[in-house]
Amino acid sequence: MSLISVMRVLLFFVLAVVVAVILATLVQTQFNLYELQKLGMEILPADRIDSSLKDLVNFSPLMAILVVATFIFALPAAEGIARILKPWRLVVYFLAGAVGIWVAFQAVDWYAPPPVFLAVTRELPGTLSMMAAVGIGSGLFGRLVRPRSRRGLRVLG
Amino acid sequence: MINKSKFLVAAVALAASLGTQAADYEIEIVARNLEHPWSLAFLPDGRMLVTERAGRLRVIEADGTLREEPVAGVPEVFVQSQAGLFEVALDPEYASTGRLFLSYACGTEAANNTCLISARLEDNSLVEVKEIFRAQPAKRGGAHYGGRIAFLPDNTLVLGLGDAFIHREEAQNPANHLGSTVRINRDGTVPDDNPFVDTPNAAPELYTLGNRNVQGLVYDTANQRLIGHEHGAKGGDEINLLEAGKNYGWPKITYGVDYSGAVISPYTEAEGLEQPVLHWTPSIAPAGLSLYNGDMFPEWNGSLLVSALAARQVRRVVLNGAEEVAQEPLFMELNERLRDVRTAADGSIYLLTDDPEGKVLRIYRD
Repeated sequence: MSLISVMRVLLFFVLAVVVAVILATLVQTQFNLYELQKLGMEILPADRIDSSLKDLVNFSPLMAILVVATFIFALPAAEGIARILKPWRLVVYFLAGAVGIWVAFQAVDWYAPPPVFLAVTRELPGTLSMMAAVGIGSGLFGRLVRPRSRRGLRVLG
Repeated sequence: MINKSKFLVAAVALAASLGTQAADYEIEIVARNLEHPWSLAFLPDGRMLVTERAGRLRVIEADGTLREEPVAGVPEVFVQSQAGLFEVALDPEYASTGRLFLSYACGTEAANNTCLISARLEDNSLVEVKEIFRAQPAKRGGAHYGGRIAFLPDNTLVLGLGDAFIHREEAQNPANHLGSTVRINRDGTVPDDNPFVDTPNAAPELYTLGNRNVQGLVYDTANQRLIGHEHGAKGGDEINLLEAGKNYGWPKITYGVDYSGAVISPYTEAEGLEQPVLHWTPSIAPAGLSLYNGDMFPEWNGSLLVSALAARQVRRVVLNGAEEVAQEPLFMELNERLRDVRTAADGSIYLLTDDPEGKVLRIYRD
């Protein structure tokens, strides 16, 4: 693999991580605010934006660690499986990120003292949404690094 | 004689921030090798009772000897993470009733909460053990139990509770005990004048709600008020004046953020929700509370003494009415996580260090 190819993969990796982290961070902010709304709190649009921005600053570093750790294992595994299940490449990559981050959440909960470290993952809808957010990031990576399809009429061999 | 193994002599308190006179004191180790000691109570005959979070109740004899055999008859305690045996408190009428109260985590990892028993101590055993309160609902995990006890002038008992960490929104739900304080009679019955006793679907034991994890309770007789402190998350530890029926806001309003860094609430105040007297951001992790009134350190009379885990100190807090006017860190030279602070009858101050080989320390002045 040439240096340019390696750099290209690294760039796509970083892009996938950024997308996953931003999406997941914003998802968890909205779930946390929704829990307050269920208690009767009115969340003003400006406060929603402010909370989202604060979480992008303060929560996203933790999310980035989890996503990077997840992708280091999940993306190579997805590539291996995708070579077998070629038509399902995007789905395989999506599931690899989604399931991978779920495993990461379990690991954090096992290690950290609180029963569930990330409030958004206390219930199924929040957990599934976070999995989907990270799955979009891994799916994007799978899409960007897909092998180029051969074009034109193949007459021989 | 109490073990006189002094390890610090004539320490000088850090009084500069208050401009008070430097407090000379000595520190001695009263007992050691206690597994996460949590609470201390002074018996009238000079003995002391100490709880170990691991589930043991121990007796320190009047001569300072730690009795080897734990007190028998303590109920089965759920021990995990923050869960274990918590507070020991004597009945306000102990001289006539001989009863004491123990709070502890009861149940299993999948279904547990805070329980409270009353019992009498005979020889080295608890007898007439009666469960008088069990916080509902049972929850999973080993976090946020509260457990501190205080008595109001009418001798009713107030118990601080926690939100179990994973159920923070339930602190706003008056139908259960999560994230609240409760007030009960000493036999476990509900006082007729409890604030939610006539509210449909509310837990009748409820005294206050919107509390995250109450870790200190003391009744201020001079000012006729109940003072409590509680852990915030990352920041937002609070001292509150706890009044019947009031809502202290958690998690609708908070000065802290989640341990992950995430916003818990965009708001620090809202209509109908009480403000703390003060909040500590960043957290000091308050873990015990005493209102000092003694002859040994008269310069501290009327001060709140707050033992702190993360800050490894006792924080002296001076209130003027409902206003904080000064704070001063004490005993930082110990560099210990301090779980509890108590004032003895002679005015000396007792500290419990939070450690697998924890100690009971006595601060005194000759």
